[in-house]
Amino acid sequence: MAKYYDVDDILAEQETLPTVFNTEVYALGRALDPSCDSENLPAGSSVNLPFWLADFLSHRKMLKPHLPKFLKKRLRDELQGEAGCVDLRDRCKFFYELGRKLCTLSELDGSEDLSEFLLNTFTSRFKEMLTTSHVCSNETRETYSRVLTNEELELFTRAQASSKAFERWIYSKSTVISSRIKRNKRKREWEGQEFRFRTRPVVSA
Amino acid sequence: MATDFARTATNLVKELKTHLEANDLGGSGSASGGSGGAVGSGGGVRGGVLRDPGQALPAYKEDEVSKSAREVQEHYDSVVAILGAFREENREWDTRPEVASSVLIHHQSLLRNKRLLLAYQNLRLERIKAFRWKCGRLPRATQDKLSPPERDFVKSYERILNSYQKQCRVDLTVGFFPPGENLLKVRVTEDLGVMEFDYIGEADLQVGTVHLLPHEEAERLIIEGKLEHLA
Repeated sequence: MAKYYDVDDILAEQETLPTVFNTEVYALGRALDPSCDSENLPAGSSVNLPFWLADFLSHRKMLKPHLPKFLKKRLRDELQGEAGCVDLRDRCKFFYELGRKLCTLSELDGSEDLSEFLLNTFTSRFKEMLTTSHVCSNETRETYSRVLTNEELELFTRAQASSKAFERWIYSKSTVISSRIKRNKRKREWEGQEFRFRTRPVVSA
Repeated sequence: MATDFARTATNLVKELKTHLEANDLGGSGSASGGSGGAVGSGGGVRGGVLRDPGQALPAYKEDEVSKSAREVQEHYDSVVAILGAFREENREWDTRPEVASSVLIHHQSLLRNKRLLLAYQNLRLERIKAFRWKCGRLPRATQDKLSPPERDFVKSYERILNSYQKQCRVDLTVGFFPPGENLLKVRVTEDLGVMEFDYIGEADLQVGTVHLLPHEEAERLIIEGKLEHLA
């Protein structure tokens, strides 16, 4: 319940995974599977369902979930080879979050080593990511933000912000308060008629 | 009958989140006021200033919200219809798993829609609150993007905040920058006329003029973009 309003959590649960129904489903044939001819969805049909629905129904033994494409064997081998270079964002933005949730599904094939696999992937990618985040140029950041998953990107930006803040602190002398709202209006006033230029600024008090 | 798995509401939330991230309020120094919820997760770290205050919040998507609400109603009607038909048959649930699964799918879709709509609203309210704390009152351009209940919320929030601040006699929304000196050197960027200040009395704030103003009062005006702080 703690994550009820968490948008990332919500969007992670929206990712679909292939499932096979153990039971018939009354009157939802066409809605669940557009290629289904009958009114009822027959048992044994395979349908792509979002995680939130698949999770709920698999706990009630109504369907059998399968691993989504991005966790299939081929990709896993790829990741074991060179984890750092693989574009995970393209496969699933919520790679770890969804993977973690998938671990809780009891009836999933190949879920035994899933948690270990996720952890390995993360550790091998994290090290390189962290070093890069402190010293990277804008271009590297661009390319990087296109291959990282949402969770990694969050860490990446935070690491970058903290090293920037540290630099600012170490070279700073005084704090300048700046407006959080940038006004375009100001520019116009400088150019316009209204502005009277004074040779010496008036300093009151 | 549509079972598109709450797609309308999902897109609603997704779009809002993208918009809010693209128009980050910035400034890591201040507390977000309310329960640091969904807004805090994306904001704060990226820094930078809001380019256009009118973009702080996208317009309220009345149509999509009511479409999702209708979807909820449809799911509810289906559940009731299925249960009604089933009750007439008078049999055990175990013998009809296909009916049970259908009811559950409808019910879950209903709950999912509810969660998405609540998250959408919550995300907007968090942003409204954060804006009040970080950038002052909502500008007119943003006011027009609120739904009527949201406008009421803004009004009540403002009232509560004001009455509390009156009680403790401190403007809580300023003071995130620890004062180095008592007076700040500022340049006026928006004509404010003659204003009264502590310590120094009246000051004629015309565009382009430079003044030394007391920290506390100047800070609010600087954050609102009416003065510019000169280091």
